[in-house]
Amino acid sequence: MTVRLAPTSAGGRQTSDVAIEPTPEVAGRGSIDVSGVGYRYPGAAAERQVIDDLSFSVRPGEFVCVVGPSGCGKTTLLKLLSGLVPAESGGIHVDGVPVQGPPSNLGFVFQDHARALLPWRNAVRNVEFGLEAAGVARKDRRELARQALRRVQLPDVENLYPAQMSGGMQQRLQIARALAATPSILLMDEPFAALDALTRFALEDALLEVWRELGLTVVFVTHDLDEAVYLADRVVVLRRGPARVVRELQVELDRPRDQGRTRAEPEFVALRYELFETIRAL
Amino acid sequence: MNMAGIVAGLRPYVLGLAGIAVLTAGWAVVAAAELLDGVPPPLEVFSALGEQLTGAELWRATGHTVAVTASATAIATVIGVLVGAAIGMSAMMDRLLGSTINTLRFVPPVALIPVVLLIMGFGSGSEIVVGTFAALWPVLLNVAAASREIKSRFEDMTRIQRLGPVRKLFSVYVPGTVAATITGVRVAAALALILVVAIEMLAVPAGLGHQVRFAGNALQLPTMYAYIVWTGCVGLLLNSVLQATERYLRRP
Repeated sequence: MTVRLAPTSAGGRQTSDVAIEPTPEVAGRGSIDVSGVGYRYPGAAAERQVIDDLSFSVRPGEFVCVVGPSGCGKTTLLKLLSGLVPAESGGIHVDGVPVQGPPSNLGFVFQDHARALLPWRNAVRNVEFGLEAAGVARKDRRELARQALRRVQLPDVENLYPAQMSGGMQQRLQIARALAATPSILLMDEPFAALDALTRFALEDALLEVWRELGLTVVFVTHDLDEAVYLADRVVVLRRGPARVVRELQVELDRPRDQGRTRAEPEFVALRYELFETIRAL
Repeated sequence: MNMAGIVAGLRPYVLGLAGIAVLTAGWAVVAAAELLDGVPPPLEVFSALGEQLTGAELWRATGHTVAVTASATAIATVIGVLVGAAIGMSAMMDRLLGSTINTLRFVPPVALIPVVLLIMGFGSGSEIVVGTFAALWPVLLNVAAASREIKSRFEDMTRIQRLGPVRKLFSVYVPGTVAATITGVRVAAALALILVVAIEMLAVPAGLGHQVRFAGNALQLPTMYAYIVWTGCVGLLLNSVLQATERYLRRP
């Protein structure tokens, strides 16, 4: 079996890092390539270019945060990546394959858990929901669901319904459901935006641990610059109207990161400052 | 169980009966003072009701009215769920059927009675058609609104989970709309009962409506009132059963 390292249609946009680490399982699983993508909202009256000639790529196993002014099309970008909406021009490839609908190896964590979790199913049955659609046998589903719940540090809540859980727990539950289907890519749309600071810190660390253990590719949209620097290997900055990549910031802070120590490091502070100035100048 | 527990348990029923007690008291005063013609005192009405409850006539009439109401509600539920789900889930179906539905639902069901009697005659069929027409709208509109809500809320999620149409229907739409459906059915059953009794009073020689009119024509006023009270009781019972079902389905 041959693994295609650089998608032919990517136009040589693939970063060299993939070639440096050509571990077959990794190189073929979880790369994203966006080249020259344009999108406008359908409907004659409201029609306007939301995204224009947007290009960037994500290596397998990389943690990329996307930041930008509000309303710049960050959520639309995730919808394009996940195949929820079709790009108008340009190409989006996941593992070298053009995206034509949600790929099976892709998990999505929505900003609003009310739009993701089924209120009539308890926690473990919500996790199983994704597995049912994927055709996993009944006897395996419960076990996989329990494992996923443990992974996001949500044991002992199996029988609680979403309405009985806090916002932080519901986001953990969403992450567990995405993980149960063993994706190689996780797209996250401001998943922690509605949480209080301490809960957010806990979820950020839980996410980083899962990411490290499973070797996932993560694209994480946020408007919180501190969060972006804390989580990411690389921060992609978008500008507004139409969205385009204006800057990519490499984050080389040591891992595992620590909420106290990492955020106090001069490099963290410098990156955060740079990010802020970049966005302010837009 | 201790006394305080029993009292606390009965409290909602005691409060619920308070309204009926006040109404009956007012009625007794009006009857005793002979303020209105044709109002027998409550005691006479209740004794007439007791008499009827021991006879076969009342039960036969109740059986007829309840069966016809249940049939109308059941047919309305099937049509309402199917059409409501179609227009709630598909924008195309909504455009196709929306204006027709909005025209038809403002036709008073009572206005259909003469038409239906002409076409279908003076039997249970006419009762069911008129009852169904009245009962259809609450189910249809409730299901349509609930389906629309489920669709916009879970559209992205179901696509990410790559749900097929059948699984989407049975794992998301059905459980997501069942509570709203039963609420619609509860309202529908009440409307069906009202229309069924109305058509029985006007034309169809069977059921509770017919008994009310028959007793009235025979100038047996206490019996006529007894049937009116009894029809209210039947409605209350019907509503209670459906309300309990609704509560059960809406539990967390």
